[in-house]
Amino acid sequence: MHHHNPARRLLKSVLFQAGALLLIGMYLVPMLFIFAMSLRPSQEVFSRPGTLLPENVRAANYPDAVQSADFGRFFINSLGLSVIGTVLQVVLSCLAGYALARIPFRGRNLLFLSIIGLLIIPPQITMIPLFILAKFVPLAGGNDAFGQGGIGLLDSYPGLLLPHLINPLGIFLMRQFYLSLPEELADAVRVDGGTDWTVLWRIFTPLSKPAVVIVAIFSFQGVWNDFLWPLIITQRNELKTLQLGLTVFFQENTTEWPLLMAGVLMASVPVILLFLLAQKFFVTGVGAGALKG
Amino acid sequence: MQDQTLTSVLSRRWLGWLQGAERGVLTKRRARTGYAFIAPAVLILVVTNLIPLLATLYLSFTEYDLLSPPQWVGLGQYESLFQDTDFRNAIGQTLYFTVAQVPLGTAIALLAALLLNRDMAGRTAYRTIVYLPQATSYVVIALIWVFLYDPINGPLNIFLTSMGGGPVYWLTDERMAMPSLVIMSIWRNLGYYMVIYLAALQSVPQELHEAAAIDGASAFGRFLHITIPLIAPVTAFIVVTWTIGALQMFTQAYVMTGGGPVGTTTTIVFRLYEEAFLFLQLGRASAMAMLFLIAVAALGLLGRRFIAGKEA
Repeated sequence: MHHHNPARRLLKSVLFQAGALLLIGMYLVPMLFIFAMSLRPSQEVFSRPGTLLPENVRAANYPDAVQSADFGRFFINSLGLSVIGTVLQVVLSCLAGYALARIPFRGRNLLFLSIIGLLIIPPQITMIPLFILAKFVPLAGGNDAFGQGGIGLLDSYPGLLLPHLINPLGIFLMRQFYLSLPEELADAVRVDGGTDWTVLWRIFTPLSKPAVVIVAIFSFQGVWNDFLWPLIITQRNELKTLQLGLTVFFQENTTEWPLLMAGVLMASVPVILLFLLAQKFFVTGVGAGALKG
Repeated sequence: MQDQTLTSVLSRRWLGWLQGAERGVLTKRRARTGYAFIAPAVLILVVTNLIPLLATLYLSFTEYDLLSPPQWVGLGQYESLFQDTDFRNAIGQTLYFTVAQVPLGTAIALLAALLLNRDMAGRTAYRTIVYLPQATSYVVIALIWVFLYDPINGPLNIFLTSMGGGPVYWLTDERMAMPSLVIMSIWRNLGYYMVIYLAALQSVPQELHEAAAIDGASAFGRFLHITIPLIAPVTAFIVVTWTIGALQMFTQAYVMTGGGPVGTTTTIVFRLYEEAFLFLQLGRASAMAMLFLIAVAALGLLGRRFIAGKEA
């Protein structure tokens, strides 16, 4: 009873194609309108309300957004924090992941399980004590040796970085990857007098490029896209990250759609570029992580 | 001759002992390397995760405003939270947001994966487009959707009015605000879960489908009786992950609605933020955080068991 009715197959194929186009349309159409709005002269928003496409195209919205709302500064803040956070998270994940996967020592399993346990804790749970901790760091931000009198690390770059120094997920991913590499590779180095340090950085990590790329992207996205922490610890305008700066700009200029959409698009460029560059690693990594459950 | 044998045996023993000792020293040295490699990570995790976790627990039994030292109040914060109608409202709104988003979103993610799992021109580009919102931040997506939902200039209302419908006040109408946030959140998260489903669909053996087709099973029947059961663990994973993510909703409400209108989009994390950082009620906010952690952890463990059970 295996039907090979060509008319039915054609219909099915057309239906699937139409469904796929509808799905893509739900993403592409909004994106096009956002792009169109980012190129619209400000006065058109009021003079021609209820229209979708700009009459005149104004690319100067982009440099205007960078200057008028200080998005340039916010961009550099976000970029700096994300790069530093990513480097720290990747290096620490490699070191810890290697130790957990490859070096036998007492208490290793307990440590590993504890790190897994931390994965389940949402960041909102620890942010209150972290805020308090940041405020009372001794000798920072006008504090005395007992952490009194000033604001500590609140409203500072190190304070902004505080929750992003490390990511248990990175440690977990690197450990899993190092576990999958053959021990013979390490033996060859050890015979020549190489230490674990050499094995880790010269042999294992170069072979773990997909895992490193995934950890780096997760880290970068985590810092770049974070909103709640910058919101609670930043006061000064010049310290704002892009996400916070965009939100504040929106709250102060609710109808400046062209500048806002230009800012929103610029804020997405680094993370989207990063994603496209590493897509091959990324998609397989997301799938693999999920299937392990 | 005998002497020589004895010496050789002895020397062999000595050698063995020496090697063993050397191995012992080496093992110890390697263990020390292990501790050194993991020490920075553990130190930072203790300072930025473990101590704050314990501190949240401690603070939840106190009254604390950053200015004067914490005052021990026992279970007082928890008791007053259980009677707080605002907090109950926040729990209700959070559950509404989660229950409205996760089952519907999971179904659409599966549908999208089925659509893009077929051989067709531009398949990879399609997947990338659906995934893109996932790469950028919630703030960006929230601001984009504030524009899409704008009553006058927003494309959605322009479309509706051109079709003869009235303008919908997506974010300011009490009944519409939360559904609007749900739609926007599904739009943002769909790509991630679709990719996971695509990977799962690839792993369904083609032979099973062919065998069933020969037995006369329809395409829909095969989907229902072969595909769905085989990808059930992935579905469980998606539901649990998505639920835990949805329970943490904050940014959408903060940016798009400010928790309004009349508290209809005030979530648990939104209340927690207000209580801690606007009203400086850090003890009370910590009690909220602990209740929230218990709920999320219970769900995570339950989900893990469910996923494991399905796989077995």
